[in-house]
Amino acid sequence: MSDEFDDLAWMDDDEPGDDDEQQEEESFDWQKPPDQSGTPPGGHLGFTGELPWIGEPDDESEAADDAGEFVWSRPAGDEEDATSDEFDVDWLRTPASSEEDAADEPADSDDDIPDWLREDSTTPEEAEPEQPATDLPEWLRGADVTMTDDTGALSSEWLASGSELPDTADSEKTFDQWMLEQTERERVPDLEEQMPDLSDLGETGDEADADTGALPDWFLGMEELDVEDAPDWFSSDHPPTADLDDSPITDWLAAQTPEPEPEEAPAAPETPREDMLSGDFFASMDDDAETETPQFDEDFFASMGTETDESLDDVFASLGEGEPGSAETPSMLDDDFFASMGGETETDDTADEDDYYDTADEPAEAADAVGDDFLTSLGIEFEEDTPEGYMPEAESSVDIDDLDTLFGTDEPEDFNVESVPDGQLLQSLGIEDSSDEDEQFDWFALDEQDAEDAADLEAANWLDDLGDLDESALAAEEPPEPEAEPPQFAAELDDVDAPGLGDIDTLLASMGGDMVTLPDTGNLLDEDTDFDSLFSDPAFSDIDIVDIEAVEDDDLPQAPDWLTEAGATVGGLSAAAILRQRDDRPLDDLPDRLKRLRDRGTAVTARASDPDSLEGFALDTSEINQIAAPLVAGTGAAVVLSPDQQGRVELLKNLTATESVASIAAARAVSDEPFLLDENEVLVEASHDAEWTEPRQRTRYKVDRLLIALVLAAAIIVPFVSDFRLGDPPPAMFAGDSRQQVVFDSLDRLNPGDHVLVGMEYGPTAAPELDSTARVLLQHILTRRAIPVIVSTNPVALLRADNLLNELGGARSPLLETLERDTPLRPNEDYFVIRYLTGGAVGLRSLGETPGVPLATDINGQPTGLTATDDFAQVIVIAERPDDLRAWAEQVAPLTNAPLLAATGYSGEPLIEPYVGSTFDGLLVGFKDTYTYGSMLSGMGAPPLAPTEETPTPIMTEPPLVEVTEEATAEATIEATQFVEAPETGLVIGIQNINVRSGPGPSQPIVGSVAPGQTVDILQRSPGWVNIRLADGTEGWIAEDLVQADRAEATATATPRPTNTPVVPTNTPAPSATPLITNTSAPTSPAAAPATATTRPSATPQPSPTPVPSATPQTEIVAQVIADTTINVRSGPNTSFPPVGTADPGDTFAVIGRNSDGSWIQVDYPDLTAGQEAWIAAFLLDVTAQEIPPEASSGRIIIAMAGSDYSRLLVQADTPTPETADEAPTAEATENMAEADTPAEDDAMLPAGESVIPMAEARWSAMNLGLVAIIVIILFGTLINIGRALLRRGK
Amino acid sequence: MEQIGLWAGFILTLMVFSYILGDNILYRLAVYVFVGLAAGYIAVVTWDSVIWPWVSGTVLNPASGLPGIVTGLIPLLLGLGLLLKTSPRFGRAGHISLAFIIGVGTAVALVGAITGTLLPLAASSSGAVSINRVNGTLLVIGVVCTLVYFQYLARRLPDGRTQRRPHIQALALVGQGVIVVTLGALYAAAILTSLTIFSERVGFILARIGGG
Repeated sequence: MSDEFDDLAWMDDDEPGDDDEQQEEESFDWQKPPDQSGTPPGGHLGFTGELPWIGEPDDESEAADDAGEFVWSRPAGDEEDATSDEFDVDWLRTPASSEEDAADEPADSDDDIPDWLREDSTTPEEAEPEQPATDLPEWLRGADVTMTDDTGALSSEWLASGSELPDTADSEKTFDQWMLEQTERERVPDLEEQMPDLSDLGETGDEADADTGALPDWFLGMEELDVEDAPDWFSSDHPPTADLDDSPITDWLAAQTPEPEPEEAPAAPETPREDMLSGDFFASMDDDAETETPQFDEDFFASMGTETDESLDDVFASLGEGEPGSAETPSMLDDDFFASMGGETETDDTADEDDYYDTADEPAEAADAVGDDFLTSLGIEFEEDTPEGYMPEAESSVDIDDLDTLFGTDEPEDFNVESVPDGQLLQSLGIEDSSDEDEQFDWFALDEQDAEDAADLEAANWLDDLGDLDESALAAEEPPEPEAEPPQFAAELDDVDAPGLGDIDTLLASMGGDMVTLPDTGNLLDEDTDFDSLFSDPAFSDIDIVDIEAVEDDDLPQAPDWLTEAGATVGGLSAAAILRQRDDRPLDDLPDRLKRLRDRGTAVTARASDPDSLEGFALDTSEINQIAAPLVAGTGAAVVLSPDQQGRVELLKNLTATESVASIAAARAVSDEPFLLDENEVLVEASHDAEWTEPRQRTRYKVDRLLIALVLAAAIIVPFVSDFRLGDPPPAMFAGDSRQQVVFDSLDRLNPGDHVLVGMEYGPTAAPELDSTARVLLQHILTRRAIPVIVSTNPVALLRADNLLNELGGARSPLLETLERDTPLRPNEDYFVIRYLTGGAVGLRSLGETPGVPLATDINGQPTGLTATDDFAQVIVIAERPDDLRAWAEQVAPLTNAPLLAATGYSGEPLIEPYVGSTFDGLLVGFKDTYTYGSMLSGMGAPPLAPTEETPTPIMTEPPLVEVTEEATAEATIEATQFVEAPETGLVIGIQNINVRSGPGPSQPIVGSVAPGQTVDILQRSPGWVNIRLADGTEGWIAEDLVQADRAEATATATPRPTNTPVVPTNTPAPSATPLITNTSAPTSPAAAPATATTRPSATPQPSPTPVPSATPQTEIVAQVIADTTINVRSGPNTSFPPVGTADPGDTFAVIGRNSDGSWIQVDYPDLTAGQEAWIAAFLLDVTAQEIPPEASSGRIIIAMAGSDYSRLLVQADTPTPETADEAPTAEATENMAEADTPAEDDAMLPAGESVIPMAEARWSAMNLGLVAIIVIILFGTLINIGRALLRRGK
Repeated sequence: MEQIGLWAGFILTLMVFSYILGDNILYRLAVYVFVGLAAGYIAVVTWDSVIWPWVSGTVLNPASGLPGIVTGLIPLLLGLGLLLKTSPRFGRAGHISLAFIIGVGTAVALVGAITGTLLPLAASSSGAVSINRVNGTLLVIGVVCTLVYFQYLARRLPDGRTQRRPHIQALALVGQGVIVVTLGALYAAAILTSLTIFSERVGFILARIGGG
């Protein structure tokens, strides 16, 4: 039983936010004393919530608690009142407040409002227990009046003071003993006596303290109201003019006694104690249990769910449905409301009453639902050691002093009283005020026939469905046989989903019957007490249950689907969901109603998944208003809320409001849930309608966000669909000693056959950025005829690398032309894609330490033949994340002697910066460097496959500008390519932007700036300063040293197309540089020409065909010493090199090359010994390109080198004149050069990087435009926010 | 086939971009496709290029001999232990594998961090001044202040609060500023990366639309 009991733990909702698991570990609060439970008065909800008001937390027995229950339930209305109106409220009145009195004197505001709105409400615990009568069992003591009269019946005084029953009582006489005594007393109450005397119930005076278990406080005073004052909904179903004969009350009266005596109705105080336990109610309960078992389950669970207050929205949905005054949908005190509150109600009041009265005709049908099965099904296990824990708050139901009480307290009797006639109600509650002992209902009699009533079994069945009950106690029971006509009230109870006595208080009230000798229940609350065993006592098991099997469904009143309306939930789980979790009953076996309830519970569960959140409980404030509005209306607007009460109402509104986002925020703040109202925010709107509806999901699209995205997208798209360009393209060359240049130089030093370890550490997300970088690097490696070996810890990256290499080395790839091969590149021969390195950093470590293992297999599982990292000439890592680069730096770099290079995106650059210089020798970052790299790479030729002679490697670290002597190409028949000398231009050098001033001097105002690498027009010169004109037309002056002048800007338009006459390559050893002067396969625009005309010296001489333009003037780069004094000419590009000679001002030398940053110029200095070089500081020279007359050129051709400031020179040799081989290396011309397609048209010329990176220029411009858009958007948003802040401040 | 791939990429790119309108089925479908394909590809590659070569080269290779077989079985057994982690009953068998992985991974990371990060960075920072006085000085100051910011030694005041010494407080403030600048740079760099990717994808889409 304990398991089931635990399962029912959710019914204790003192902590609605607790999950089921937590609650399972908790004990029931209603088992604890009020001071320990932490539950506010009346705060017990759900099933257990019915217990508190039954009795005080008496340490003796629950029977004592019953007393408290019965007192307040004692009927007080007379017959006249009962018959005057179908919905008479007189029974609610206190004896002192008659109907006339109520009309004369306004209702006291304190009495008209519920306790939870009272600021001076008294909790049950505050009530002082009275000294019990000595002749009464202690558990019945509490009133200072004599309980019984001379006949042994309950005295009227005692009943009148029943509300003052003590909270505790000793166990001098056990409940059972006392009950036995009562049973032995014979008494036939008349009708008046049977009529419950509710005169005490409404008393708010000292005599009938509501705290002792009388009607809830919020009811107090309402009984003083005349029915005329009641709201429409209160009486619409039962017009005051209704015929008395048609009234159910009449029926009931007729059923009770043929000759009612209204004047004796107040004789309720004489009602004996045993009569308080009316059999009618139990009879109806039996009917419920017997006939509508599934519904009983459903309703029972639903009611529990409603009572547990776990789902406030559902409760309020039921509360707030309809408009006040509407008969169909009463808003406050309607049946639905009570149903949701107490689980026992009926929408059809008429039917309710009729059935009730009919039920009263069946007194002999004792309700045996009090049996052990029922309680066992509820998982209730009384504990003898803690009797006070049982029903600790017998009177709490009358004190609705807090939200829990308001929304969760299950007080079926409280609410049923309105729909039940005066005396019948109390009879149904077990109070039989009739003094006629003959008519006294002996429902507790241990009748064998009743004991065999199948109602018990039926009840057990449905209870088993609830909690896997132990049916052993009922196994021997015979199927019930109907003994009497099933009372309609029982059927009604079935319909109203209240399991008859599904509430413990009623149940236990029934136990107080005088016909039953119940087992000793004095120590029910002891921990060791097993409730199963307790009720296994024959005294319980023999209690018969009236069989109402014969009751037809058609006879039943239309059951209110309040469950549907309420959507009962418990902690985010509906009752149906909980039931569904049980495996003891297949879903298909459930009745339709229970299936519907299950479906409803599923929806509720989905809606309120977070039990801690108030979101699921959110409801509209109007519902809160509706709670109080009927009270006001029903009491003739007599309710006046005190400030404190009003504060409570406001608090309730704040906690439950959902009308605005702010309300949701407040609700979430209460629930300590972060307020994140993002798009797709699901706003759960409380159901205002009677029918619970699915929560509407409203997706909130952020208009501002969408607008920003559109603006940004437009900015990005513009450069692709138009010629609009924003900003200059990246420089065509890297700055001198920059880390980017290191990367280029490192790869450019690769020799054919070198293996380069390439780490590809990026996935698809970074591919748009890093694919271009990988492409240029791999192309450079392959161009150098080196062999890339791709490794990665990311398999997807290897896939991309494989595809990229297939594209680069495909059949139609331009790279094949560069490499002078006809067949595509072959994997595991021209390149390797190694299987991915498992284990991340561990895999990298294994690559560094035991490279043979990971390198042995390629991505396809084929052997590679690679062995060790020592074989690698370079290691370069292309990574998306800094962590990957760091892993390579930590795991691989210490284990290899190869230079380590890196390339990453913009996002990875800041964190990898510290490693540059110490671990990584060079670094490429983002698309800008890729663009420049592509520009430098464009048109680059491949080294020869079979060098005939190797020239000494230049000592300098940077490739010099090569002066190539054209010779032995006289036979060449290349038609002259005519170049048109361009106006004098200059290339800005340096590593950062240079100020452009309005005049020659550092003190002149700055009019602009120019970036290194930009080409400017040189207008005039002044000592130390040059007047330039920028591309945008701005004119100004910059220091002369910062401009490398040239003036041989070739214009493609004026250049005749050379013929494609095959060029006979000379066998003259050439410098390593491959003259790319003729990079004609990819004509370049003037702006990007520098890279296209680049050539890099290499250590391998190669034969090259020499273009021999005929009769074409050629230009050469010369440097003139502009120093004032004689200067040194050194052997290297640094002052640390020893001088090899001197130069006087005005001396002119042919320029051979420069160092990486252009600060030193290598010149053709005479009188050098073999192997010597001549270098002059650049700032001492005026480097220009001048035309060399054909006759003066002597067959020499000046070939611009890659990346220099002079790369824009397209130098064309004149008629080739063979020279001696030892004079200078023979110029090398590639086949590209030989096949040079002269730059044809300007519009056909592509930017330098376009041939390597598709749409490079458009992408660059798109990035710039996107950045501008972002900045504008941010500024605009900031201004808006500032404006709003100012406006708020102004307000 | 190439055209199919390009058009598939075009469609998938648009599907991913549809996220600008919020989470939707198109976006999720694209993500599912990517994730599913990646998972499948990784599984195949792992088997094809990692597991099977290992097995065939050791366990199934008669030439490897007993040591080779044992060597080949060890990682397989450890991997099997990991698979057993899915079983509550035999999950303990994977503890050894996990311990091995965690232990080796930690050791490798620790050694790598010391030799590959701490020492080189310390050397680089200390020598920064000699290379470039201005930048080097700023670098050293930034590093020191940032490290100071992350030290939590402080005096506890009688009221329970903790307070650093004034000079430590000042250095920490500078370090905090350095961190702010660093984070700002990271954020800006992330925007640049996003722009790069976005522009490339837009160019790709437009190229597809334009027939490129």
